[in-house]
Amino acid sequence: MTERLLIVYTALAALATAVLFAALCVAKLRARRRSGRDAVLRSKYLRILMLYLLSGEGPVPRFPLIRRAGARRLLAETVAGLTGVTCGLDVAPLRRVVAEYGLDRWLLGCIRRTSGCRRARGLMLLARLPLDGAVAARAARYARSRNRRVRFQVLMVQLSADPSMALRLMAEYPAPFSACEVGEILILLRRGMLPIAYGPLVESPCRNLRVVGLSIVRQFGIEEAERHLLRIVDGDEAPELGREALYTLCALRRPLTRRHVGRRLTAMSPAERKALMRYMAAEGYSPGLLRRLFDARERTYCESLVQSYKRSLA
Amino acid sequence: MKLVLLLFFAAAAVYACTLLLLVLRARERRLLAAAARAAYSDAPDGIGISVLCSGVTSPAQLENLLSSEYSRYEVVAVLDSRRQVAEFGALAARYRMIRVEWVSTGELEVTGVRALGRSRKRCFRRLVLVDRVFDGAAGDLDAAAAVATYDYLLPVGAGQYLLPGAVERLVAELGSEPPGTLDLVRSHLGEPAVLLSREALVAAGGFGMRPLRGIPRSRRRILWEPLLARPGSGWRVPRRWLLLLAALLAAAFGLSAAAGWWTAAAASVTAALVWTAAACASQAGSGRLRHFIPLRRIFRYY
Amino acid sequence: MHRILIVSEEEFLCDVIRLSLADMRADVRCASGLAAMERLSRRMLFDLVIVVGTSLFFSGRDVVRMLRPPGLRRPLVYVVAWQQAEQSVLSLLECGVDQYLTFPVSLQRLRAKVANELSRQL
Repeated sequence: MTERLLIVYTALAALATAVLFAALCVAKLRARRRSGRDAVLRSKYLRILMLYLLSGEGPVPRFPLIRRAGARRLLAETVAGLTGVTCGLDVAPLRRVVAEYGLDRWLLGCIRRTSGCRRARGLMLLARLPLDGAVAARAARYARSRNRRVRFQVLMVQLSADPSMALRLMAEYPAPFSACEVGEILILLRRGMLPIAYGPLVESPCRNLRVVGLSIVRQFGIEEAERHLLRIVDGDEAPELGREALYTLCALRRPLTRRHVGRRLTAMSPAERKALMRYMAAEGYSPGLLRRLFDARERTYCESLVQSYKRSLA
Repeated sequence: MKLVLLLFFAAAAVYACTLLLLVLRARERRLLAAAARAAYSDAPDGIGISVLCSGVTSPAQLENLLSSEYSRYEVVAVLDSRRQVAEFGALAARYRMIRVEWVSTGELEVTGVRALGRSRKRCFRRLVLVDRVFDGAAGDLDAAAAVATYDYLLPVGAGQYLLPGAVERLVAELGSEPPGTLDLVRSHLGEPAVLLSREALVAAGGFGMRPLRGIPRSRRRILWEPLLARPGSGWRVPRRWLLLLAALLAAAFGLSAAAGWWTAAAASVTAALVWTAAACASQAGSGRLRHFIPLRRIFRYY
Repeated sequence: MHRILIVSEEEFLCDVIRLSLADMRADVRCASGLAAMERLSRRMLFDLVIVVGTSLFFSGRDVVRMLRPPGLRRPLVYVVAWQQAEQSVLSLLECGVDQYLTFPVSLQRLRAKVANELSRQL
C-alpha cells in the first residue's frame, strides 16, 4: 500500500515539477521579450500616439505589429500610461484610437478571464482609457465582486466614464473608502476628470463624500474651508471624520483653540492625542498653544517634543 | 519508515507550492499598488513611517534609506560618536546636522543618549541623528523610537537596503485598512522586515521586550514579497553547475524509477519540485531585481 | 540650438517628456540615473535639466551643484514629481530647483514653460 502511495506521489510531484518548470521557462521568455521587443514597441507606440495627439486630427494611425501576441496590451498600457501621468490632454484622438483597435472591448474580455487583483489591475487599466457609458455598464457586473479592490476599480471605471455622476456614484458606493482609495480618487481629480468643489462634499451627510472633501481641502491647502473643518471637529460626527478634520486643520497650520477642539481631544485616546502632539510639533506649532490644548499630565510630553526641534545652545 | 518519509516529502512539496502561491498572489497586489500610485502623491490618512537604524554608518546605505519619495517619512540613525568618530563626523558634516535639545519623553526607557541632531537643510530634515553610548541594538532602537515622529516604525540594520517602492508598498498596505487597525506588517522574503506600530512597541516596553509577541493575529499582516535586501551578499552559482545538478537530479530520478526504488525517486522529485518552486518564487517575488536577492534567502526563514 | 537633459529612472516618463518637447529645435538627451546625468553634464553644458522624481535630491547628493559649473546660473533645473506636500516642494526650492511641477502634468504647460525659459535665455 505504502509503495503504491509512493508511486502516486512521485508521479504527481513529477507532473507538478514539469508544470512549474514550463511556467518558469515561459516567465523567463516573457521577461526577455519585455526587455527587448516590448520596450522598443512601447517606445514606438508612444511616439505615434504623441504625434497623433500633436496633430490633433486625421485618420487613426497604424501601429506596427499590433496583431502580434501582447501588442494590444502594450498599446492599451501606453494609452493608459499617458493619460495616467498627464492632464488636459485632448481625449478625442485617444478615444478614436481606443475605438479603432477595440482596446476597451478587448480589455473587458481579458478582465472576464481573470480574477482577484489581476482583474482589479485590468479594470484600473480600463479606467484610464477614454471610455463610453456602454463599457462602464459592462464593467458594472463586477461591482458585486467579493474582492474589495475589484469593486473599487469598477467605481473608478464608472467615474472616468461619466464624471458628471461622480457625487452620486461615490455616495452610493456601499463600503467606506480606505485612505488609499481616496488617494486614487484624488489623482483622478487632479487629472481634471472630477470637479474640485469641496463645499458640497464636506457638507454632505455621506461619510465617503466627506472624506473625499477633507482630502481635497488638505491636498489643495484650501484655507477658506476652516469654518467647515471646525464644525466637523466640534460636531458629533464619527471619530475618524473628526480626527481627519483636526489633522487637516493642523496641515493647514490654522490656529486652534480649546473651545473648538477641546471636545474632540477629550474623545481621543491617549495614544491618538500623543500622535497629534507629535504631528503638531513637527508642523511647528508653538509650545504655548500646545500647553493650552492639552492637560497638565500631557504637558511634559508635549514640551519635550517641541524642545527636540529647538537648537541646543549649551 | 517509508510512510514517514512519504509524509515528509508530501509536506515539503505542499509547503513549497503554498509558498509559491502566496508569493504569486503578493506579486499581483504589489503590481496593483504600484500602478495605483495612491501613496506617491500624498500621505494617505497621514500615515507616517520612521526608519530606525542601529549601526548604519555606510553613506551609500543612508542615501538609499533617505531616497524614498514618500512625504511623511524619516530616518533616525543612532551612532556612538566615541566609538565611530570618523563616521559620525562625516555624517554630521555631510547632512549639516545641528545639535538640538533632547529631553526624554518618558514613553520608553532610554539611557545613554548624549545628543540629538537634526539637519540645518530642509531637504535633509528627514534625517535625525542620535548620539548614544552603544550597549546593544535594542537600546539603540528604543532611543530611535523615542525621538521618532511617526506612528509606524521600521527597524533597519547595517547593510539592509530598501528595495524601490518598499515604503510606498507598506503605506498602501496600511492605507487599505481603517486607521489604527494594523500593528504589524512583516515580510520574511529577502531580508526580514518588520513594520511595527509605535503604540504596540510602547505597550510592550521596547525592542528588548519582544514586542511582536503581544500583537494579536487580527492586527498583523504578512507581505509575501521582499522589502529589504542586502546587495552583493548572494553567491552566484555558475550556470553549468546548476545544469549539472539538474542533470544529476533527473538521472537519479530516472534510474531510481526504472529500478523500482520509489523512495529514492520520491526524494529526488521532491528536491526538484522545491527547487523549481523556489526559482519561480524568486522570479515572481523580486521581478526585475531577482539578482539583487540571493535565492538562498527565499527559504531561509522556513 | 538649446540643450535639454531629462533625468528619469522610468523610461516611459522620460519618453513622454522628450516627445512633448519634440518640435522645439532643441537637442534633447535622456539620462536614466545619477551616474548617467553626471557623465552627460560633464561632457556638455545644458540649458535646462528636467529631473523626474525627488529621490535624487533627498538622498544627500548636491544635484544642482553637480549640474551647474561654479559661478554659473545655468542649467535651469525643473523637477516633475508626484509629491504634493508643501515641505517637499520647499525643500526642492531650497536645493536650488527653479520650477516644480506635479504629476499628472499638463504637457502643454510644461512645453510653454520650457519654451519661455529658453527664449529668455537667447
